[in-house]
Amino acid sequence: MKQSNFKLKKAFPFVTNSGNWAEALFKVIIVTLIFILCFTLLVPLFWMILGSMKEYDDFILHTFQWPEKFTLEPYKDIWNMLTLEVYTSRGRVIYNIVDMFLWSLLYAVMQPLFGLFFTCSMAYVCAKYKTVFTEFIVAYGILLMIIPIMGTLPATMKVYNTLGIYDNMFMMILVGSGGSFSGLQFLMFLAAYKNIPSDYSEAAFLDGAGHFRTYLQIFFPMILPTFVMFYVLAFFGVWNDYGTFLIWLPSYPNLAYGMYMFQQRASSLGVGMPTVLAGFVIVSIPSAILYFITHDLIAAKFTVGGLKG
Amino acid sequence: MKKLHDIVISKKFSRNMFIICVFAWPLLVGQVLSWSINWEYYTLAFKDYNVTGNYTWVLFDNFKAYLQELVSGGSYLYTSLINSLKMYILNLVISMPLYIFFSYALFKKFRGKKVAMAIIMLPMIISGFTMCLVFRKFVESALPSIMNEIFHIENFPNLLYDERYLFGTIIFYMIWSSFAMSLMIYPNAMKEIPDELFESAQIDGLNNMFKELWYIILPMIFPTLSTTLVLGYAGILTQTGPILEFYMYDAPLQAYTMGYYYLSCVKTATTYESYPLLAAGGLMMTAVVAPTTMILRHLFNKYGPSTDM
Repeated sequence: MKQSNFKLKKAFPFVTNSGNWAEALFKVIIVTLIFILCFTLLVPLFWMILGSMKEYDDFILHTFQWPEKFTLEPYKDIWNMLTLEVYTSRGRVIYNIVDMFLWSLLYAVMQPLFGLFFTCSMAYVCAKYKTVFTEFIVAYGILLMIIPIMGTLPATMKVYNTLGIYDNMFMMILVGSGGSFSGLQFLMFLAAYKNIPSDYSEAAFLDGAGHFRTYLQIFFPMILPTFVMFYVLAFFGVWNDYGTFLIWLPSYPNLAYGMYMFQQRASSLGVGMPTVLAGFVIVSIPSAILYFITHDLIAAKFTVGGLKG
Repeated sequence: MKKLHDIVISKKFSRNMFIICVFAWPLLVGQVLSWSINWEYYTLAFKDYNVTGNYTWVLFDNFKAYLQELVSGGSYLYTSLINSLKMYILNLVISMPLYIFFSYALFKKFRGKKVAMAIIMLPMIISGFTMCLVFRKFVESALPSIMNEIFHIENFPNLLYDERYLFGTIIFYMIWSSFAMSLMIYPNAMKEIPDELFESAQIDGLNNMFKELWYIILPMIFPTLSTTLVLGYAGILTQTGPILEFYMYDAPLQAYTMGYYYLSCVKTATTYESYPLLAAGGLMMTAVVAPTTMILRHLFNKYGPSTDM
C-alpha cells in the first residue's frame, strides 16, 4: 500500500502535492482540460493528413473515417495544379509551386534576418551606451508599442504606392527593419544585454578592440541563442504569412498565399478536398521540421518583461 | 586646434560613429515611412476624393459621416465595433483564467507535460491560415458527418455560416488557437520566480495552490501579465481575428470586426474615395483608445503589486 502510494506520488506529483481533496480535484480538472485541448488540436490535423491521402470518392463517402486505400495522388495533383496567375508590370506571370516555395524561402530567410539583426544591434546600443538619445529611443519604442494608431491602412497603401514599396520584394525586406526599436523582441534583447556585465566590453576596449568588434565578437555571440530563438519564431510567422503577400506583395506569391488563393478557387477548378489538404500539408512541412529541431530552445528562452519606464 | 587624426581616433568620436551606424538605417526607414504615413493619415481625414483621384478639402465632413454611420444600428461599422468589443471582453474573461491555471500546471509539471507543450504550440508553427482553413473544412465537412453518424443529428448546421452560431464559433476558434503564445510566456515568467520564495512560503504554511497563485505567482508575474493586457487592449480595434481566413472578403455581417472592416474596405476599393472616411474614423478611434491605453498602463504600474523589497 505504501509502495503504491509512493508510486502514485512519483507519477503524479502535481496532483498529489495538494493541501486537500478539492484542490487535487481542481488540478485533475485542469490537467484533463489541457489534454482535451491537445486532443482537439490534434484531431483536425490528423484529419488533414489522413484526408490528404484519400481518394476523392473515399473522402466524399467517408469524410471522417480511416482511408479505405492510402494514395499519394493528391500530392501529385497539388504539385501539378498549384499555380497562381498574377498580372505584374512585366505582364501576365504564372507561378508554380517551386516558384512560390522560392519566394517563401527568400522572404522568410531574409526579412527576419535583416529586421532582427537591426533590432538586436539597437537593443545592444540602448543597453550599453547610456545617453539621452538612447534613453529617448527606448521610451519612444515603448510608446509606439502601446499607443495604437487605428485605421492607417489607407494612408499606408498610398505612401507605399508613392514610394515604390508596394509590390516590391526587395523594398519590403529593407523596410522591415523600420520598427527595430519597438516590439517584444527589442525589449527582450534589451533585457538580455542589460544582464551581461559591462566588464567584457571594458576588457575588450583595453585590448584595443573597437565598438563594432566588441559587439560582433563578444556580445552578439552571447545573445546568439536568444537571437536564434527569435529568428526561428519570426521564420514561422513569415513562412506562414499570407496577409503580407495578399496586401503588399501580390506579384510575389509565397506558398501560403498561393495555397490560400488556390483553395478559394478549388471548387470552380473541380479540385477535390484531398488535393487541397495535401497542399496544406506541404505548406506546413518546413515549419514543422524546424520546430521539432528547435522547440527546446524556444520553450526555454521565451520570456516577456514589463513595460515600466 | 585638434588635428583631424586626433578627432578621428578620439574615443567619443568612434563611440558616436558606432551609435550612428547602428541607428541610421532603421531610424531613417522607420521615421521617413512613419512620418509619411502619419502625414498622409492625418491629412486624408480632411479630404474628399472623387473617382478621378482628385481631392478637395472638406474639414470635418468625414468625421460627421463616420459618426452617423457608427451610431446607426445595423450598419457594418456599428456591428464591427460591437463585435470587436465583444470579442475582446469574451476572450479576456474566458481565456485569461485558463491561461493562468494551465500555465501553473505547466510550471509545476505533470506527466506528459512536454508532449502537451509540443502539441499546444502547433497553431504557432502550422500557420494560422492553415489551422483556420482546416478548422473551416472540419466544421463544414467532418462535423456534420460526425453528428449524423454518432449522435444521429441530421442537417447539422454549418457553424460558420449559421447566424445563430457563427459568432460563437469564431470566439471558440480564437480562444482554442490562442493558447500557444500564452502558454509559452506565462510558464517562463513563473520560472523566473526564485525558489526561495516558494520555500519560505511553505515554511510559513502556504501549501494551497490558490494562495500560492494569489500571494506569490500573480504578483511576481504581474509585469508580464500587465504587458500582455496593455498590448491586448491596444489592439482591440485593429485585430481582424480569423475572419479573413474563414471568409476572404465575403464575411457575413455578424462576423465583422473593425480590423476586418478596414481591411476589406481598403482591399476591395478601386479608387481612394472611401479612404478619407476610414482615416477620419481611425483618428477618432485613436483619440479614444490611445489615452485609455496609457491610463491603463499607468494604473497597472501604480496600483499593481510591487516586487520591490
